[in-house]
Amino acid sequence: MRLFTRIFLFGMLAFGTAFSVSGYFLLHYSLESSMAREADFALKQYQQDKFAVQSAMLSYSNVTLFQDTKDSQSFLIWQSAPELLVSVEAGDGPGLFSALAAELGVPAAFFTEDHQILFSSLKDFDLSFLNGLSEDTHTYRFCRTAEGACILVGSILDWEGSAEPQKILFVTQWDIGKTLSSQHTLRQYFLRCYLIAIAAGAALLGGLSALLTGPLKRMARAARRMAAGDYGERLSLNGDGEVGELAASFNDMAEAVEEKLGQLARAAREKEDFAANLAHELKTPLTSIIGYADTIYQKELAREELRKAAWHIWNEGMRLEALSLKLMDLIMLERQDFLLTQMPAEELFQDVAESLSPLFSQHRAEFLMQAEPAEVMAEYDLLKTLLLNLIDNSLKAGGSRIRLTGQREAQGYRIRVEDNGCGMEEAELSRITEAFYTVDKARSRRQHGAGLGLALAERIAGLHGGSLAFQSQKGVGTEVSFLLPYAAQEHETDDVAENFGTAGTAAQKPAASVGTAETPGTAGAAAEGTSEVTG
Amino acid sequence: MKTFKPVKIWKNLLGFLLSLGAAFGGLFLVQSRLAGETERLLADGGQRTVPPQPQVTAQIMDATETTIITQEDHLLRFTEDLKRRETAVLHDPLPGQLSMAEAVKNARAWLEEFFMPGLSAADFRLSEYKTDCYLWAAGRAEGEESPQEEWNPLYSYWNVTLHSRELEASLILNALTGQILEASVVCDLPSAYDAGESLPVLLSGYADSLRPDESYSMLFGTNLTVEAVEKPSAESGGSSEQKGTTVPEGIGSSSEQSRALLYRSVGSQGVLAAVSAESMAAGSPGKPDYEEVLSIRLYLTLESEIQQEEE
Repeated sequence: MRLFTRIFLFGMLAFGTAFSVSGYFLLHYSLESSMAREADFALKQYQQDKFAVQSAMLSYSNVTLFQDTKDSQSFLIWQSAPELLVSVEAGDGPGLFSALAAELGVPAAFFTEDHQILFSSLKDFDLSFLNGLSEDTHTYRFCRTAEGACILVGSILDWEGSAEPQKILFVTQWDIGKTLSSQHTLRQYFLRCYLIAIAAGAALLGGLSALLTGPLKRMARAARRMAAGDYGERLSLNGDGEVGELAASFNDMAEAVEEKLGQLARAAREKEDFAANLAHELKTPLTSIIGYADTIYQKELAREELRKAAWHIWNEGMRLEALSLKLMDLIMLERQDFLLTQMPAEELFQDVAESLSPLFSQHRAEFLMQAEPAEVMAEYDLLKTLLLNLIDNSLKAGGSRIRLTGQREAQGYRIRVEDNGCGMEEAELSRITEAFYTVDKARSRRQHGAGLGLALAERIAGLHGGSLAFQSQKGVGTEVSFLLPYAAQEHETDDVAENFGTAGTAAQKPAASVGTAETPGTAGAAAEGTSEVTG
Repeated sequence: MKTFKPVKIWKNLLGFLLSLGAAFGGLFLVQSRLAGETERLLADGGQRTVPPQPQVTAQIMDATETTIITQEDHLLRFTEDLKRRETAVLHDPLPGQLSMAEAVKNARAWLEEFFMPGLSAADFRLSEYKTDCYLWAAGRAEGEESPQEEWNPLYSYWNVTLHSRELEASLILNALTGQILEASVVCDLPSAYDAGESLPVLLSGYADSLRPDESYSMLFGTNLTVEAVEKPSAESGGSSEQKGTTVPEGIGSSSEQSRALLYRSVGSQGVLAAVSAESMAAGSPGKPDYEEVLSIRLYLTLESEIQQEEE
């Protein structure tokens, strides 16, 4: 069942039930109280009529009456002729009980003790009512009549003034037709009000349901369009309510899905590129190896030619080995968890300088190193690999002057590698960390490069919570930098220093000593303070 | 792709039909229930006794004692009950109270043995009359509760009206003691009637009947007017036309009238017994003769009310 139908159904159920129940109780109360009030009126009127009848019976016991028609007006005139009472009761003249009843404002009836009618102006009277009458109480009963309904009230009277003690059953009839009619009118009004209210309620509920389900329908349509591939679909629903929040969440979800899908597409493309590059990188040395091996196998070569062919096979084999090692490193970085440990940055710099001193000697390059002392969090081997890769790249780029610096910054310890090599176009900077990407493929191949060094470096920088930042200018040189996190203790020291308004960075600390090692090929560095090594 | 699902349509249609069914079913239920309730009420009945008898017997002795001890309080209560007469409750006589026949007998005796002799008509006998009687107790005002005094037989009163050709008397009797508490009589003017003699006698007898064990002095206040009832004569204007006034139609229209008012203290709580008399010459259209009518009222009032009237 649709939500619209459910809201409408339950709304109508609640509305109808509430209106019916409250209307019922209201009308029921009105009916009961009206009937009770009518019974009260009837009993009071009966008491009054009873006194009138008793008074008249007392009067008529010793007087008689006849209709004086001498005047135009009719009067009841008393005469001292008690004996005429007999003739009155016999039916001559107006009749005693008829005269009694005429003095009452309501229909009345008189009966003898054995239920013989003396006089009756009652309509639709049920004689069984007389069975319940008594002298001490006023008995009443509601009953239906042709005109509507009435209340019968009766009791037994003593005819005190009569010659012999007699008992008369006196009954009056109190019409309640108007009350029932007004109750009926009230019910008719309720019926009309109910119908109007139900119609208005149905319209209101319909509108409300449409208002509530409209945004949901729009969301459903948008979701279907997204499912069909339109990931740019967004909802434009305003409002601070739940629907507005849902629409905002839907849009956020659509945004996230679109972004994730973009990432997945990029990852898929990168993998395809990776596979293609790997195949290409494997193909070139393998072709060379196969070619030279075939030549050795097919031909009788001179010793010098044989050595040359063997050298080429060795050389390409070395390339393949380097390639496989770097690939393994990359895979290892993806799969393995590393624990960063606290270490002094300047010691790391010295180790790097010592490791690279033969290389600088070979390339006749000048190596400058300057490190502000700091305790950093790093994985020693990985960070060393990162720095070696960066410096190796600088050397391969033809740099003759390479500078490695460590500088304290608020965000972290920044390590920077600068060279005066060939540099790169700015457009290439965004792709140089991709695997197998090489700016100069011929040069890279010559130098056994596979385009994996910077990809590896980028991953290592990522493991240390940062990323490589490149600045390069074609023909001028390149600068690569990244941040290392401080050790917790180091960071607290900085905070305390900043709080006391003193120089918080190690660079501003007074250096204990500044050591400069300018021995080519060796690395000398001061244990403390700013270290500067020139290779 | 969205497919056509007939089941869903039927479900929704069923939902709408249920909604309408609930709405109109509720209406039908209310109407049928109310019709049933009406029929049930119309088949109902009951009995009521006014006043409720079981409470009465226990109260009678208390009421009688109260009568003996605080007669004057009772008179005060009567003046208060008279003010609440519009909300009076009619009821049958309680045990110990006078029956209607006894009340009429008392009223008749009072007229024949006290009132008419007081007007110098000692031989008056009420031979033929019609009665109109009812027994009432002052109703309780809205929110007023006094369960102890409810249906106390002492605080019920017979209202007896006697119509005869000679007079029309309306008397209020205490339903328990039969004491005449108030009387209003309109009668033909007795030939021997003298206001100066009759009214003090009536007042004295009336006041004594209210406080039989005590003696009271007759009070004639300076503001009181005691006028002799002047009989209209032919010279002094026996006909209204002669005085140049228009006589309204109907019996009781007067051309001349004289008034008298006397009152006397009953007890020490400011209750006064009062008598007012008014005589008038009444005529009927088409009849040249006037009938002289005397209207006398014996009643209880309060000193404070008299003072207010004087102011």
